[in-house]
Amino acid sequence: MSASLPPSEEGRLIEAARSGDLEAFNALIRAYQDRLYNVAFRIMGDHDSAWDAVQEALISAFRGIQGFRGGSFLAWLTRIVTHACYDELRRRRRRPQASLEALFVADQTPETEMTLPPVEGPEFYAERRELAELLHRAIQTLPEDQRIVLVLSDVEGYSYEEIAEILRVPLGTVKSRLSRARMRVRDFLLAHRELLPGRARP
Amino acid sequence: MPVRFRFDEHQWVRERLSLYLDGRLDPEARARVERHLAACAACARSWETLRWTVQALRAMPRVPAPRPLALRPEDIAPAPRPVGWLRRAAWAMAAVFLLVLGLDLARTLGQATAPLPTALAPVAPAEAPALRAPKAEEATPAPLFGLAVPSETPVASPTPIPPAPAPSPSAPPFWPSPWRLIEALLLLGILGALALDRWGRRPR
Repeated sequence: MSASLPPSEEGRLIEAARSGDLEAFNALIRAYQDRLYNVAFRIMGDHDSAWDAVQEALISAFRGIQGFRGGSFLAWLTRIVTHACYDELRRRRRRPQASLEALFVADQTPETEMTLPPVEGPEFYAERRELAELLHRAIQTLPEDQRIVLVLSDVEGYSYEEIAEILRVPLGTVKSRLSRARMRVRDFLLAHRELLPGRARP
Repeated sequence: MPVRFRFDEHQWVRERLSLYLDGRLDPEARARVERHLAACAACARSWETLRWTVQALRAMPRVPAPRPLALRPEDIAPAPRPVGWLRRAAWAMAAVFLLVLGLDLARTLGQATAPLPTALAPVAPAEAPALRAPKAEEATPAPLFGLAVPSETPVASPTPIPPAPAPSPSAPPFWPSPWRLIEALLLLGILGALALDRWGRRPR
């Protein structure tokens, strides 16, 4: 978790950034950079694309800071980062690449005879990195709309209401996208259970 | 004891497991889901695996930025489009191309209306008319020196004039005319500039 700013300090920096103070803007970014970057990385899937999307987002944030009308500055920045990611994904879709992953996902297996380890406990933490990599792959197989909602909700911990605000979509849309996204990630894990670390294997 | 549910009921419950997990169901729906999960092993497994998945997602470590995120002054300076000059070059070449084409066309049409047209233009356009005029006359038996001495020629040379030694009007030129070369080069230039411009503006 990046250090968050006290509200008064954040307000002062936002005012300075509004009048064109780049250093004040960078101080705001430093406070939130890990959260912003993580969102981009989980949505885009790799460091290069994540870095490009965040850089592009920060430039438009600085140029458009007059459009910030109060509320959560982090949510406002997250919204811009999310949209930069979305734009880049849309550009990519126009130049489609064959996705083997998508083929594997379609080949789902029934969820019977599946045993899963407890999420707590030392063994889980030992295997956490391996599992995180598999989850990261699973997230990349989701359709963009679902992927973004899942990242904001389950990876970054935003509430339904905050996500609806960030994405400017109705609450019901957030709920249904999140539900479908979770099911798909679950099904991906079940379809790749041989890749699940240690005791997660059936 | 086993309870038999309609298929719709399994579907109804599974569609609400995500909301159930987040405590987002009203008490009535929540009780209905819980009743179902207590009685249906398949849906209970579905619930367990979903809960496990979401817990694992929430436990994913945050990936920090590989280097500090910050904007430099040059990042926010309004950037001029670096490839605009290619388009301007293409336009300029297109204008020159049209000019050359017009001159070439006028020249060719001028030749076509001449008394004895020759298909050849082996020299630069500026000096071509001066040289071509006598050559056109050479093919005819008289007058020998063109307009300069029109009255003398029939008298002075009664013998037939031998055909011009070179170049013969019927033989195709070995190398295309410089007009065609210039036009082709300009066309290539225009296409090249447009292709480079397009490449420079490709989405990244």
